[in-house]
Parts: sequence; C-alpha cells; structure tokens
Amino acid sequence: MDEDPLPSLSHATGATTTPNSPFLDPRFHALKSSSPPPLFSENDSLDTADVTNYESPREKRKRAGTWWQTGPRGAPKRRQFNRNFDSGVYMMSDDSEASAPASSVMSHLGFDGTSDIPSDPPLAPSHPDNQEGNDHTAGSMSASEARLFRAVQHCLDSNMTYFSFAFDLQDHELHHLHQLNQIITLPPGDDIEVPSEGQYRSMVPEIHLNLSWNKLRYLSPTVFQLQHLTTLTLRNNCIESVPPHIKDLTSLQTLDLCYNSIRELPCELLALCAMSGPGRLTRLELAGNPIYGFNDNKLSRLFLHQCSTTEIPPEFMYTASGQHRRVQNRRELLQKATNMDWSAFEGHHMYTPPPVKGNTSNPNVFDDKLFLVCRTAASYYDQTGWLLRNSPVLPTQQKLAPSYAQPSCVTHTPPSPGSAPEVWFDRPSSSKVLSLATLSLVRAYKTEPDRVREEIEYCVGGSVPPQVEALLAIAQENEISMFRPLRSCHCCGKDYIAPRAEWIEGWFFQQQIVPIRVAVCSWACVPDVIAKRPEPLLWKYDRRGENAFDIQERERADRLRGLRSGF
Amino acid sequence: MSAQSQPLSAYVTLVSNDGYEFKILRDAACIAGTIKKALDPASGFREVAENRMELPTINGVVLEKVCEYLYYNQKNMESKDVPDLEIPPELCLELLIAADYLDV
Repeated sequence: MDEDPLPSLSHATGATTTPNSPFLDPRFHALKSSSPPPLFSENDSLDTADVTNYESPREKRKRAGTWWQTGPRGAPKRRQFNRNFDSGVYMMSDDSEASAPASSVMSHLGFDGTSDIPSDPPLAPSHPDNQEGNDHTAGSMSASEARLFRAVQHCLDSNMTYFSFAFDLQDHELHHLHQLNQIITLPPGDDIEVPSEGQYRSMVPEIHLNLSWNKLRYLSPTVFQLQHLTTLTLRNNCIESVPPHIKDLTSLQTLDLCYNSIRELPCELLALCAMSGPGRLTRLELAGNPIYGFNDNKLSRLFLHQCSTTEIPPEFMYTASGQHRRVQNRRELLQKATNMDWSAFEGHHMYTPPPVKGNTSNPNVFDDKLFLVCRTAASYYDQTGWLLRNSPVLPTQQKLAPSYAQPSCVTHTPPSPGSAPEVWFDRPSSSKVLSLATLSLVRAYKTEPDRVREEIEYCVGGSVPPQVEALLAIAQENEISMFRPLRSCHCCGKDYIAPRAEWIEGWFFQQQIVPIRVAVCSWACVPDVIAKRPEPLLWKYDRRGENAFDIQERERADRLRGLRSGF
Repeated sequence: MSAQSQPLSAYVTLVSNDGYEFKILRDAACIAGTIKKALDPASGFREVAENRMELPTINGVVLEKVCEYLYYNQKNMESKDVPDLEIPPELCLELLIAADYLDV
C-alpha cells in the first residue's frame, strides 16, 4: 500500500533550520551615523584606528565637525551687530560686538549694513512722547508689548518701586521686565530726612509688581530673575501651574494668585515658605482657584473660603502618620498634627522644612508655621510618562487619555470604604538607575538643547520611534511650563525628562491647606513613608466630639445655603 | 538534543553590525527587554541555541557603551547613591536610538 510521503519535520534537521530571528530585519541596516570615526577604548591611539580594521556602511558626512558644534561646512559664522542700550557709557576696551564705538566706526566705513542704527546716543529718553520716534524696535512690537515697554521706561525714569501693568499681556511679552532689575533705592538727598544715628536703612529696593488682568498662562523666566521682587500679584490671569523657578525669588514676601486656574502648587514653593529671615513668604493668596481640596466642607469653608474646592473622597487622604483624615476644625487639626510622630517625614524630600516644635495647647502659635497634614498615594508612571496599570490617577491630573484613566473608577470608589487597593502601595522596582534612553536624551539636551529633534530625525532618517517621540513631547511640555526641557528631581536633584512617580502633599500654611505636587525621577526615589501603605485608622470622625463651635458653624452653613438657594 | 535541554550559559555574545563581539553576563544582558525576549528559552529563536545575538542596527562603538550601561545598571541596582554614567555627546543620539531598539 502506497502512502503519500510525510513532509519532513522542520526541527528534525537540527539547528540549521530554526526560524529566522525577527531582529535581523534588513530595514535596519542602512542606519546613518554622524559620528567621527570610531575609536574603541582598547585601541591605543588614533594611529591604529584604521579603515582596515573598521568597516561599516557609512556615507560622506555633510557636516564639518561634530553635530553639536557647527552647521553645514563652510558657512561663515554670523555675527549680529546689535547695540545694547544699557548704560550709555562707552567702554573703549575691546572689540566685542556689543561695544558701541566699534559698530558705529564700522558703519562709517561701510563694512556692513549697520547704517540704520540711530545716531542718537542710546540713552533712555526722559519723555515718553519722543519715545515712539526714537525707538526703532517699537515698530516690531505688538500694541500691548509697546505699551509695557513705554510703561517700564517711564517707571524706570522716575525710579518707582510699585509697578502695575494690565495691558492684556501674553507670556512672551514679559521680557521687558528684566529692566526692573535696574531699580535702586535712592540715597537720602537734601530734601529727605537723614536717618538718625543707629537707625538702620536698607539700600535693597523692594519691588512690588502687579500683573493682574492680563492673559498670562505660563509666565516668563524674566519675572523670576527679578531678585528684589517683594510682592507679586497675578490676579485674574489664566495660570494653571506655577513654574518651579518661583524658588529663585528669594525676597518674595507676598504671592497673590487669586482667580486663576491653579489646582496645585510646585514643591519648590515650600523653600520660600520655610525660609527664615526677611525673604520669607508671609502671604499666599489662592482664593478663586479650583484648588485641589478636601471633602470636608467645613474645613474648606474655614481655610479655603471662596475656593471652589474639588471634592475628594476621604479614603484618598491620609494624615502624615497614615491616619484617616477627618478634621473637625482647625484647632483639632493643629493639635492632632503637632501631636503626631513626624520623625518618618523629616527630610523625606529635598524641600521638607524643619519640623515644627511648639506649644500644642495654643494653636495660634502655628499660624506662621508650615507642616504636613495629609498626602495622597503615589502614582507611578512608566518610562515614557504613561500611568502604570493599577496605579491611582493623580487627583489633579486632568489631561489623561480615556484608556489610561481606567483606574480612576478604583480611585474614587475603592472596594471597601476607607481603604485603598493593595496594588497602590506596591513599588514597581527599587532601582535608582535611570533608563539609557533617558540618560542619553538628557545628555543631548544638555549639549545642544535647540537641535535635538532635528538631529534625531537626521540620525534615524525620518521617522522618530514612538518611545523617543513620547519623551520628546514631554521635554517640549517641560520647555513650555518650566522654561527648560529637563526637570529636576524633588528627592535626589538629578535631571530627568518624564516623572516616574508623583503625589500630592497637603501642607498647612497660612490658615489653609496648600496642595503641593511632588515629582521624582525614579521609582526608588519615592520615600518609604510615601510608598508604604498607611497605618490603620486611628483618628476617627466622632459625632459625639462635636462642640458648640461646630454646631454654630453648621447652622451658619445652613443659613448660607438657604440664602444662596433664594437667589 | 534540543536547545531547551542545555543549561543556560552564564555569558552571551552580542555582535555589532561591523562584526565586533561582546561577551557579557547573561543577567546583565537581560536587563534590556529586547535581548531578554530574544534569549528567552521558550521562544526557540536561533539566538537561544547559539547564545549569540546579532544586532544589525548598532555599531561597535555604541554597543560597547550599551554593554557598559548594562553592567552599570546591574551594579547599581540596589545602591542608594548612583554615580553618573559618562556619555560622550557625539554618541548620545545613536545611544538613544539603540536604547529605544533594545528597550532599555
């Protein structure tokens, strides 16, 4: 009986016919490289690095040097002949391009097209009227920018220290404000009474800047370079987040952010609040913002009055030592908070202020103190900034793709009341090593921040891999909101691009609980006190504990509600 | 005799597109997601039998740096103070592409 011969099995012939590896894809072969000739660490010197011992597909390089140094080969370096209108004092010292005599001599000799430089000496005109004619840069400004420029000039001429600009300004138009650094305190003149002996008179100017009623969203690095800024008022703008540069304003005493769109504040603000001496932040106004709040209505009315607080479930908030947060009133909050053991939270991140010590029986003692009251569970992210599965969504985060927001239902309705799922407190890994992709991209941004994307596109020949693209997008976001593509870790201070974990801490400051957002560069940077599951409930809401003050408060709230519904 | 029955060797070989071979510890190499998948005994790829992985997109200089990173990562996995890894600026973009490909 004849049978059809069976086809031979592929594995019978041995290892020679194992399936082809998908990693040998020929489309990867033609990768271009802009590097100089390779030199291995085992090579002794450049002389032995020869084309005979190194062959790879490469094409003629279009660039003269390394990628971060120069443009195309042979292009002469362009120099701009702009004059700096700074002091009006001519320094005949060097041949720098900022030196005014050099450029005017050049224009007389007809070296280049700098003859359009006005022949007037570059002193700031004292009358705002002839400003328009003299200033050739005013033509390229928008109307609001020009108004700001003139106003700044006028204020400088009269050496004022109170500035108020409301010209519908945008973020990029604020760069004229750097001139406010020229303000000085006037020394006592003939008409000014000389301070008597022993009376100290500070010569440091106090600058008060009011930028209310503009269209600011992200502010500008210029604002944070004003080192003598004492008061910053930013009411009625569109600010969503305060840049971390706020910590550079070491003289700031009053920060007014009312009527913006702020949900949380950066960790760096704690540095200002905890400072000692005259530069300490003593007033922080947050009314009229959708501040990330607490579901305790009484508390919100007491501390965050006028804020439209976003309600959060009680099980989401824990006190510092992990207790369930249900606060009756401020007095109780202060007493509870100061009676707790804070040792675990000392220095848990870079901006943790020194612990509060004082008399616990008198809550007024703590009015100007700063201490941690509560915190959320940490949200963990993967390398490219996506929320990990089973990790809670940061409560203030709004811009999340729907498919990645799936744990939000878990967040707000945990399986059993008062407890969060166990997976929230599993730290994914405890390695502090950043990924190679992050390390190399950080290096690229530190070398040449402006051309990274362009160079990557050149390197891969067009399409950027999606993971790299995601990192680039985050760097771009950082650039807009923090003025630089790299962030700085709140726990170890290292530069990174995409945060791997974030959480919100509630700090009691100035009669209100300020939500502070902390972001770190690796999962291991999350302090143990934040990563671990909080202790079981010890601090319970007790109805019998209601005192007369509480009842009065509730009655007042009911009356108010009745009034409001009447309208 | 199939590849699955052999005990896993301690070292694996990574080959760059210009023919340089790097013999590194299997534990270190498997930090990279792509290498781990390629050398997974369950996958049955040729790489498993040969303990050798060819990387046609990565040249020798970059692969040397990648191997350095893999050992650096393995060494500092538990440590609290991680020293910085020196990355020469002319290599960083090629390293970025290689890191993306190797998922590390």
